[in-house]
Amino acid sequence: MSKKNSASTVARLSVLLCLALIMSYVEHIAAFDVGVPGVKVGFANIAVLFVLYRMGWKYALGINLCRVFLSALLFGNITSLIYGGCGALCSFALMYLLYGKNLFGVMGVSVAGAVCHNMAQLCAAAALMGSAYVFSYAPVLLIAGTVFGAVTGLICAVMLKKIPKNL
Amino acid sequence: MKTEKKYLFRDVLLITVLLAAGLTLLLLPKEAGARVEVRIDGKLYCSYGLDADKRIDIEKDGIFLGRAVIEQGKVYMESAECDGGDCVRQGCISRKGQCILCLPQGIGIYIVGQGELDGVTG
Repeated sequence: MSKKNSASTVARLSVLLCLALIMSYVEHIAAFDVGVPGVKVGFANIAVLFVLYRMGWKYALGINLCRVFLSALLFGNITSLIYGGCGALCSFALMYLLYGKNLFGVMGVSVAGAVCHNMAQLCAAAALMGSAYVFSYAPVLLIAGTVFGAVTGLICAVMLKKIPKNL
Repeated sequence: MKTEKKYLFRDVLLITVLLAAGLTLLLLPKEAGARVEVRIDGKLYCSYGLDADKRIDIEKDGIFLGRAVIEQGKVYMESAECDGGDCVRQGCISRKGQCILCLPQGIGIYIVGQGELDGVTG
């Protein structure tokens, strides 16, 4: 990779990571009063998916992990690190799998990732809280993940279409 | 154009299936509860009947974590010392299987049936 290419790659990734972090922060302060913990729009996933489709899975995974770690450090706590990390890893694995298999469009991949993220967090909660009763949240999280996953997927699809590849 | 339509169709299908599953599960009738169990990190802290009128101060190692209230067949978190306060904003629960979770503090308030052993005990 020539010097110019690697510098521009770092620059692009930095901008996208900042984007993901700002989105995480906005979600953090715009608290959602649905009464169920873990319901969030997941705007940060837009950046992750964008990098996945444009720059490959390694950079996308890197962005995802950095985002989880930094947002937990900046405005979260250990809990958000554990649950966020769990959700992010599982959802990324699924999204990468579906992206490779070419079964769905960006919106479908986003929906699958969002739902997987929520379910993984539920499983983590069940393990840490020692009770299967937490799965009573599953229906709400399933619906929220589907709806918001579709929204973020749609936004990402538009971005992929409109933003030129050589930016 | 054709492939875009194919992907759009599959995406919409996926969304529809998931929404249908979610709504079905959500609208399933829930049984009435009998007892309230408060657990910290999985261990039982205290347990009362759902028909009791109680204010429960939840403490761990002498540190106050929050206050739960049981009244009129409902349970809610009145106050909590956690960062987010999601648990307090959640409101009341009253049916078996429902729960209020304060994840940062490891508190779980569960509504169980009569004479049930809810997973981890002791």
